[in-house]
Amino acid sequence: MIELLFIFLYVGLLTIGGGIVAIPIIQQQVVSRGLISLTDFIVMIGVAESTPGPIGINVSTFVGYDQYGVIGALITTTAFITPSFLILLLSINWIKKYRKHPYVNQWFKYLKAVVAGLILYATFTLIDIGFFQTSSFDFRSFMILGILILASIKLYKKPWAIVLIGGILGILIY
Amino acid sequence: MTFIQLFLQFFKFGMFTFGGGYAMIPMMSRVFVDEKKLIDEDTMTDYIAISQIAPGMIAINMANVIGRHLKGKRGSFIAVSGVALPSLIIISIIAAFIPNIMTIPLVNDAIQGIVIAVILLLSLTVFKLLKYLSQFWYLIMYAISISITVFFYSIPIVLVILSAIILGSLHAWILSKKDIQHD
Repeated sequence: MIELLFIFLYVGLLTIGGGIVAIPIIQQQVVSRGLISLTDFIVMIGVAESTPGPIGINVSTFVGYDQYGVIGALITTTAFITPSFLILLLSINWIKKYRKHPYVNQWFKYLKAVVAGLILYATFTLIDIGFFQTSSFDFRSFMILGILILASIKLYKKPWAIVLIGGILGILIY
Repeated sequence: MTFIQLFLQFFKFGMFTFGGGYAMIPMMSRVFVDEKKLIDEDTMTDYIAISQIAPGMIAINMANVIGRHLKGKRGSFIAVSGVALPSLIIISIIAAFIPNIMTIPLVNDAIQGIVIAVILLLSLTVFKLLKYLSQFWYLIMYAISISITVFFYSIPIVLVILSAIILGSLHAWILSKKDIQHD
């Protein structure tokens, strides 16, 4: 449980550029250590994107609950929020003063690229596992992908609908 | 606004906003700027920028600065707890049922589809971010090389973030040199 606490303090400290970055970092920390299987983690991402609330909090609550029930959920979520909460609480005046500084501007630009790169990494991992390492991978997977892409043109603002359609298509097609 | 009202207001944001922190920004500005008139528009714009620059999740950072604006440091704590609590409750309830749900055979088939849906959702996020970066070709190259390096060599993400700070500083330094030469 102490391990989990420190993992999420670390994740919370590194979550720069929005909660979605937490996904690749938690994946690197939790799934690679074998605490959670990648399939379970993918279900967690699906649920986190389909339920209300910040995605980072949803994922960390899920991981905590999976490991140690309600207490686990409280520990991971609190640990996840605390570092950035304290940093912003203590440094808001500093940030207000320097946020237009050219150095801060450039950091922010490069960190945006880091966010894109890390989410792309998370996507690669899912594609690797979801497409190349499953026995059920065949033309049906592409069929689902095709239908979902078409659906997402209209539903890209409703992630829960895309996850739901994905689930239903999975049941219908496999 | 009392502490209880503050808590309930942020609890509502956490409870009813789908789509993560970015979706909460317009909701918060509507409530605090347009409806309750507790924060003026310029200050809110500042807060949105600060929440994106500061480490951590946007939704939590917004709650932090707005709570502080309205009720001081204790307000920060109340607002952050309020916005995080609904997720904690909702996800705990779902997580409690998941092990039972996972044993239903049909669910395995559903997960095959959900994996593809999640891949698509993450790809859409990547596209959105790359579009934002599209005027800087070098940042797109940088983002792609990060994803490849982390995928194949699983280097710690803290090093990736340090690389961004170093490259960003170098870039700013070079720009400042150029300015001096032009003068």
